[in-house]
Order: sequence, then structure tokens, then C-alpha cells
Amino acid sequence: MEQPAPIIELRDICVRFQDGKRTVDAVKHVSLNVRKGEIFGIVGFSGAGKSTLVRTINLLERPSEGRVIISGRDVTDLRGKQLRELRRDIGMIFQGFNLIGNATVARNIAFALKAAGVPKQAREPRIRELLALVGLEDKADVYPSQLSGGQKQRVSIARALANNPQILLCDEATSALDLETTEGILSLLRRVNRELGVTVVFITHQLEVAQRIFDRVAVMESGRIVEHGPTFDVFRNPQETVTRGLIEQFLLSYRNVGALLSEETGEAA
Amino acid sequence: MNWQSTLEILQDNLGKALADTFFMVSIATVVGVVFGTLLAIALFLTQHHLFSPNAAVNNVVGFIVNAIRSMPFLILLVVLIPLIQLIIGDPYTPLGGAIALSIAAIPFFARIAENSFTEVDSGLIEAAIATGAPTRQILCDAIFPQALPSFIRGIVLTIISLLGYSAMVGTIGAGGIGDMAIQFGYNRYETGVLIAIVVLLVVLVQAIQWIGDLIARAVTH
Repeated sequence: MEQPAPIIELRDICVRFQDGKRTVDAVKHVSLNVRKGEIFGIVGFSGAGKSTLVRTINLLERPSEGRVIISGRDVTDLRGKQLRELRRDIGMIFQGFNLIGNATVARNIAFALKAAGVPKQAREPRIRELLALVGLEDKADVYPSQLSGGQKQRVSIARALANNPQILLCDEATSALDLETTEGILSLLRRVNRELGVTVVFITHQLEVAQRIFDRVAVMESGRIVEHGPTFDVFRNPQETVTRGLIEQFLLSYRNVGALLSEETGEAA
Repeated sequence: MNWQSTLEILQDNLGKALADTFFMVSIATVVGVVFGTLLAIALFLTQHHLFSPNAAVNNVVGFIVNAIRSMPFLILLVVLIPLIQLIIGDPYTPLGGAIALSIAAIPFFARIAENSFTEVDSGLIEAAIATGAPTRQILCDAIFPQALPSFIRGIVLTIISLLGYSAMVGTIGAGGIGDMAIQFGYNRYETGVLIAIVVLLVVLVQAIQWIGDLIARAVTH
């Protein structure tokens, strides 16, 4: 049976920055496909170009070369109204949550609804619906400064899902959260993916996240994708040095935790 | 120092002087904030890579703003007198003073407001753009609410600066408490009047700063 067309297709994407006289190649000839309904991960160490790459999907970064194709449509050169319409169909959440600090939770979510032209009366019920989805029903009139990190990220997710996007981009969404809170957010994202059918593209340097929810994963190093495939295969059988490096770091942190725990309980390691 | 003459002078002149100062500073503040904000928005949008980067516009507007700001107010005042004469006939009036102060206030506040905007976390702006919102909404519903406390402090700073400048328009006879201080306190050696006005100014500035801080804190969440 033929594979349906990918919902996101990046063809030979290059992103170059001018830093004075120097040119920095943040993304070098990256091509990848994301299938509709999957959770696709991009992992790599800091500076690998993951953030820049994910931003080409909603054109926060315009590629210097290459094409971005969303649902079969070449969107690379979109501007103005058409670009804004595209962006309403792609939600995004960030490591730093990026909520409007001087606005209530409800107003933060309303921002996305207003952006899509949802009339005022229709906003309130939708906000309540979204808050219920992320488990923050009673927080509508609270300010972000009164929320924990995990709660802030949930509000971000509610905002990102406000207009029923097909795609959700996550830029290191759990990197600023502790393990337990991370687990909560990942469960929520998994639910959003499985129940609402939202395709998720998640970039991270944390392999524990990858292991937990990614269907397929791509490994990035110095602007290139060096390896990709189903998550289990990539981690069980890493081909590249950088992949092995990531796995080692991941296992090391667990070994350290294990050593710490056994020290505390006086058990043999 | 003759306290009786001090009281007499104050009784006869302070009311009008205060009214004139209030008139000039209010007009200049409103004009400065309104047009300064518009300039600030232009400056901000033309230098931000996610909006409408336009080096040409940014440089031209920036140059004009910098040029006016670089002139000591007294010199700006003298330069503006012929222009004000053209507009209202007699520049040596509170209205003339208000016009001069307004022209000084606009670029002054423009830089302050621009600063408030650029201080807003760029991640927040990125997130706002990612929702597909039009620029107008991003400015009004995301950037401005975040910049509001800083913006208000900027207005307070502007009012207090204008208060100081308004004393200088007094030197060309445009009225106000600065004019009174110079006329009676300096020219006619009525030291009592000078002291009274200085005390009044100190109290006024403290009060304005205090109220401004209160408001800024009230809108910070």
C-alpha cells in the first residue's frame, strides 16, 4: 500500500545567517518528511541547528535555499495574509513558555483566537474547552506569574491548540521543567496527538523525551541530519558517533541517579 | 527677607503661574506621548527582523529624533521662536511655551517608548507571530501590555523633565512657575518667593513620581 503524502516535507533546506562579515550555516541541506498523525522528533546537542530547522516549518526562519511543503502546498515564499493563515494552522510551544505576563491565562489564549478572527462571544466557551483539555479549568483569570512552570506550559499548549491546528511544533518544550512535570506535559502531548490527531514535531536534546513519545526521530549535528528512523531502531542501533554520544549522556545521567539512590539507601550499586 | 511681600506676591501670582505651568506641561505631555509613541512604533518595527526591517526609514526617523534631542532645550527654544510666531503670532505666551515643549517632548518620549518596546522579551514576540496574528494585534495585545509598566515610568520621567523645561520657557516670558521664580525670585531678589517655588516643585515632583510608581506597579503582574 502506498504511503500517503507527508504533511510536512522539507526539501534540501539551507539556512544561512550573516554575522558581520561571517556567514553561519545553521542548517545544511536538510530533507525530511513528517507523516500525518505522527510524533516526529529531532534530537541533537545544543547548537546543532534544531531550533532553526523547526522554525522553517512555520517560516519564523525563512530558508536561504530549499522548499517547505505543508500538506502538499509549497509555502516557502508565502507572505502577509496567506502566511498568517498558514501560521494559524501550525501551533508552537517554546522552552520559555512565552506567555504575555501582564495578561490573564484567558487573555493569553484569547490572543490566538482573536488572531484567527474568532468573534468575541465565541471566545469564552472555546477558552473553557481548551483549559479543560489541559487540566487548568479554574485558572482562567490567573496571571502567569502565579503559575508553576508546568502550568505555564499547559497554557502555552492551550494557546497553541486554540485554532485546531494540524501541526504542533515544540521547541525544547520540557527542557525547563523537572522530570515529573515533564512527564505530565509529555502525556498531554501524547493525548493531543492520539485523540485530536495533531501531528507533533518536537525538538530536544533530552533523550528521555525522545524515548517516551517519539514515533520516529532524526538526529542533527552541525546543521545536518545524520541519522533518522523509528525511535527504537535508532537508539538500539545507533550508526553515528553523535547519536552514540547522546545515548551515552542519557544513560550516564540514569547511572548517576542510580548511584545516588543506592548511596542513600546503602544498597550495593 | 520680607515674608509679607513674599506672601503678597505669591497670593497675586502663584495661581496663574501654576495654571500656566499645568497648561503647558499637560499639552506637551499628551502631544509628546501620542506622537512619540507613533514614532517609537515606526522605529521599533523597522529595526526588528520579524516585522518590517527597513534600514532607510529607521535611519531617517532616527536621525531626526536624535537631532532634536541633541539640542539643549534653551537653544531649541530660541530656534523655534520664528516657527511658533508663524503659527500663533505671539510666541511669548503659555501657548507658545506649550508648542515649544511639545516639539521637544515628541522625540524625547519616542526614544523612551522605543526602549520599552525593545525590552519586551523577543520570545514572546516570536510566539505572538507564530499564532498568525496581524502586526496591529501583536502591538496592541502582546507588546504593549508587556511594555506598559516601563511605558508609564517613561511618561512620569517625561512629565518631570517637561516641568524642568517649562521653567526655561519662563525666561522668554511664557509664564509658569519657573517664570515666576526667575522674575521675582531672581530679578527682584525676592528670595522668599524663590524658596517657596523650589519647595513647591520638590513636593510636586515627589508626588508625581510616587503616583506614577503606584500606577506602574498596579499594572505589573
